[in-house]
Amino acid sequence: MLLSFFILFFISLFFDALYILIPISALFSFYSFISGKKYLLKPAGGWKFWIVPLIFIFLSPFFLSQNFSYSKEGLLKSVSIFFHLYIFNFAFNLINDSFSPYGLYALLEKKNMKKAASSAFLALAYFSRFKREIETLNSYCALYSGSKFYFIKKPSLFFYALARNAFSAALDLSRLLYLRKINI
Amino acid sequence: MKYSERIKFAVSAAVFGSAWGALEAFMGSYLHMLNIPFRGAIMAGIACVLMSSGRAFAPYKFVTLSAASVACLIKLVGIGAFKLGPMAGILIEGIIAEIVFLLFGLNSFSVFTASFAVCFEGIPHFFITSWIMYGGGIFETYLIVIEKTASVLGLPKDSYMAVLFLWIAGHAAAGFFFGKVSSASVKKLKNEI
Repeated sequence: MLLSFFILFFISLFFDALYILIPISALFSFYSFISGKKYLLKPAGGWKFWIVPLIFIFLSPFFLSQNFSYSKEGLLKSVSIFFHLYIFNFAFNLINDSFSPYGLYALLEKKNMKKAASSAFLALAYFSRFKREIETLNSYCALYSGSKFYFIKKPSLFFYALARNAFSAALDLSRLLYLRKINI
Repeated sequence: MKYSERIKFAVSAAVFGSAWGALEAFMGSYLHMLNIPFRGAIMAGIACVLMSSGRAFAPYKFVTLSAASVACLIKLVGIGAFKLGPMAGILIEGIIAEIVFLLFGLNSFSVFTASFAVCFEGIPHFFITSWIMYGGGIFETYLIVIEKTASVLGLPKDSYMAVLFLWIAGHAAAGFFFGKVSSASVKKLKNEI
């Protein structure tokens, strides 16, 4: 089912004709209602994100004419752009709702991709440590310089500190795995 | 591959990919929300500092691409609604850097070149994202709007070329800056091992 939706989405990228875009949009909307997944039609990113593109689509028929008067050609173009956005929004929500970190880890284990699963596990374990490291780095910068935005004045130092922290964490983790003889 | 090399490969991909993904998930989302100019080039440059450091830690084939895959995974589970574009960007940046490191090995030249090339990824990224979101007809619409705006403001029709030039120059400047930072970081880190 997912694959067929992505094929339809991929097909829609190459056509601007409404007789292709409207049936695809109708099919996606039909699926959302039939399957009870109406959240697939919600605006991805919230309404605030879509205000500017919608204003652009609404004003396009006027911009695309000779003397800023309303043009039918412009209207057809802007309707085509709207349906492209609609299909993209659906595809985007489908991807967001189909994947989760635990589902991905379970899939990798099921397919016997132990190396990939180990890397994924290590990555998620380091993720929370990295968040704390950024907060600590920021606090030290603020303490040292008296300003919360020290890293904006000296960005190269900040990036080097991040790289160095990751490097030393990688060294520690490698030594630990090697000494414990963990099979990767 | 020896056992120790396998461990370093997996740890490098996990740690540096995770750091990259965490920065993309948090800092990247905020920069996109605030619409900071050249945010793509900035995030690409930071990514290259981490990719180069990861490569210095484990100088093996495809380690950079593995780190990019891990960063994609982390970005997928991070905050923010729009992840598809950044995820594609992350993978493409990983591929570009991997190609450069495979061709030239790990040295100051390859690190600088990789950073410079990766920062330029934002330019085709904008066109491809617009095509995917709005369809191919959007570029004709953009050109018509730009021409009309230029005529209203009394500017020549090809004044958009100056804006395009500034946009590309901004990416080049970011690439140059992050190239220098990456080279210096890798040099310092190698001395510290």
